[in-house]
Amino acid sequence: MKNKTIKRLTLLMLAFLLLSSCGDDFVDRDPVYAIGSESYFNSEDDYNNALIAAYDLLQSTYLNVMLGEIASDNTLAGGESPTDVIGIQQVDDMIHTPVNAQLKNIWDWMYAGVNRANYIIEFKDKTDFEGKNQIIAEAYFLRAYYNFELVKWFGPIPIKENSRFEVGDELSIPRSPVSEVYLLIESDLQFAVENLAVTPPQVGRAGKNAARSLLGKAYLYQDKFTEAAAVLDQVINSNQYSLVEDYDTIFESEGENGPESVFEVQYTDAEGAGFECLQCSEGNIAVGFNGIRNYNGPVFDSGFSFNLPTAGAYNAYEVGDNRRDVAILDIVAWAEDTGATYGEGNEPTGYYNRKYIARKGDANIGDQNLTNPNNYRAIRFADVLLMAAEANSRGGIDDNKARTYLNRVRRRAFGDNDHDISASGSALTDFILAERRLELMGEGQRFFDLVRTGKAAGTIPGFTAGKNEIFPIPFEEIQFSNGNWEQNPGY
Amino acid sequence: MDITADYFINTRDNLLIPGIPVTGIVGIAAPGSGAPTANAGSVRNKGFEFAIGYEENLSDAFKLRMDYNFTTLTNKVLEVKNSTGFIEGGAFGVGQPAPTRMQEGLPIGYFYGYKTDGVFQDQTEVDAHPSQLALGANASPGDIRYVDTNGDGVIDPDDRTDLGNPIPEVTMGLNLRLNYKNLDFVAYSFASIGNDLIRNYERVLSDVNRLSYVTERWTGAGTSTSVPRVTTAATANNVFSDFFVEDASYLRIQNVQLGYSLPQKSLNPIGISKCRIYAGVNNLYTFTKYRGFDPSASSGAPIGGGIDYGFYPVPRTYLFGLNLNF
Repeated sequence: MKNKTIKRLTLLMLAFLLLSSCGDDFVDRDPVYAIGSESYFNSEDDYNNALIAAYDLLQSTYLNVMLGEIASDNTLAGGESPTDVIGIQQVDDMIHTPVNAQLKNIWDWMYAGVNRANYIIEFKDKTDFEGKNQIIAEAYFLRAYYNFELVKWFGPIPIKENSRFEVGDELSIPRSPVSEVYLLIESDLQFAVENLAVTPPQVGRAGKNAARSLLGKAYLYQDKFTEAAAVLDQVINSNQYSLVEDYDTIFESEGENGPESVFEVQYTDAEGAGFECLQCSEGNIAVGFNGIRNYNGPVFDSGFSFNLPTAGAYNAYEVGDNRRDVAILDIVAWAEDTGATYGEGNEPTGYYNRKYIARKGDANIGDQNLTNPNNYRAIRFADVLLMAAEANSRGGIDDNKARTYLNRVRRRAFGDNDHDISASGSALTDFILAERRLELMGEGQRFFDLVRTGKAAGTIPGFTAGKNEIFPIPFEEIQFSNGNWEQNPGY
Repeated sequence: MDITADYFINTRDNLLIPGIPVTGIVGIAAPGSGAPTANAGSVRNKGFEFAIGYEENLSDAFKLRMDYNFTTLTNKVLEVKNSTGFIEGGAFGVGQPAPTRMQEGLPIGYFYGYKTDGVFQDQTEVDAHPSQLALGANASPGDIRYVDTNGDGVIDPDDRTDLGNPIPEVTMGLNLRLNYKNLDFVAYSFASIGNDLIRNYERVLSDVNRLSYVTERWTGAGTSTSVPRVTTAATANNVFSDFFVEDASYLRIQNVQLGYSLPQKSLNPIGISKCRIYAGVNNLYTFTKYRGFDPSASSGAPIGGGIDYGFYPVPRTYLFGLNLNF
């Protein structure tokens, strides 16, 4: 009986083997996971997906914005204690060193953005389809955006024009001088201006005037006033943008991508996030970090009490300036009015960065401190007006135009014409620079504005001229380069 | 009695190690990206193995067996396949450089950090010492004094040096088995000597529990020369130094078990061929000077394995059981 069973089983197995060995569909299958980095870019979809990946790193610029503000005289580091995120505390006190996790993050994340843009640029000619120019132009815009951040933070940086960085490049590619980095930024943006649509295909993507505005800014950072004035005038005269009447609404969720928005970094609360990969979050992490400590009350949500405005920043506003109470929340007065309760952490100033603190009403998907949906208003039309005013004034081009632009911003701020500036010459320049601080309070611009106008030393506590204008290259990167890159002076 | 002795030299070329850190310009920090796996280099393990077993029937009723073995191990990196000559691994604290390295001529995963030289007792001592500001904060009395190993008059990351390694010099095991009439007894023990461990589970925020050694801290001139002051202010006391490296040698009684088999005669009528009742303890006790939960803590990573990140320790388990054979 046993023998019979074995015979039957053997027959069955033989039959199975014979039957299953025929039929070609078994071997000819779509290789589902055969995507290789060198065999990509075969369709419009491929280009689109690569572009999304390049945009993705914009969300990690939350750190540039937050740390740029903390580095300036606008805010203190705050947090829970003097050792809470020590890298942020050290930048606030201007005692940062090449060993700094946050500065390393900025380097790593901005270069990740550069390299993803470079990937598209490297393969820009591989496959043709209608509308490809817009995508390629966006890649150039993004590379310029990331390189501009890198040159602002670190000064001379390694650049690569036509292809991705590869392991080994750190040993051979030198750090290009700042002027050469800006040349690349300018040519990238010029290409973007020529090829981008005026109205981008989707909200949040770069349009022609976003590229012009960034180009104007890059010119301004190099004191190229004539070029800056020319390109910024084009943005203003395009009439694509206007100042929102009520300054307050710009920073609420209804005000996102509004008529004043030239370029905005898009955030969402639709997906969770964790501390192990902050750059993976689709939310604005700075908002949770800036939030009110242990807050319980209306309108706002709680957070980690970083980035606290100083009394100096609060008092910089004139009486009647509607921007003060939009930019800075006086938490003591607010608690008295509303019965809200809050806690105090490190370096409490009594003020919060109201434009970018957590609001009630979002999905609070976990971790709620890392997934706030507040967009970062990267380039506002008011910024464009002030940049154009500055270029016209500092370049000695047209004081009248500079005054007009400046006063457009001031009239919105005060709601009347009584606060118009009538000065000219260097007095006008001073008014324009002071206006930048007030208009762009809390938006991460102050440190770099002070540095590029030579006003950082003496204004920022602890700032050492000749050293602190730029930040140190991450310690690890100097090690990797094995002598190819030198550390920035003074670090 | 049986004795085995071996001498071994084991060289491994093209050691494949995942997560090798590389420059950030290639974009490894992007969401969805990661550090590459690479042929890191070659490593040589050298050592001596010795085992001795001894068995004796002391009487018809009393049997004894003892096994003892030890292994010595010297690990040396022969080659590192990159231009910098070292590969880093592991993590310490928040945002600090990697604390372990693979480097030619040294054991793989050796610890790389600052050497300490006691605690500053007063301001005069602080002033007499090179500045420690480059470590993140200026020193005050009660802070750890770091050694200026390269003698350049400033304490900075270039002063980091070899602080030990997680590879034990000797491991040994002792097993004991006794049988007396119907009683049986076994005990297994294991010892690891010369392995260092990085204590990386202490938090530095203000409202957290601290280890008990903190009660011996510096509180004024002459109070402590080894444990720094406690403060909520920023200090450089938490950078990776030999203050956080401990000798994690240990001897562990891994398993002890006592059994009793019921006499055969009483079992035959009910059709059971064997019935044994036993009681035992796993992880009975560990002799160690290590302050953390478990001196055998290791992530298993070749570079960065000897770091105790804090984890749920191996529990002690008590076993009671019954073996029945039909």
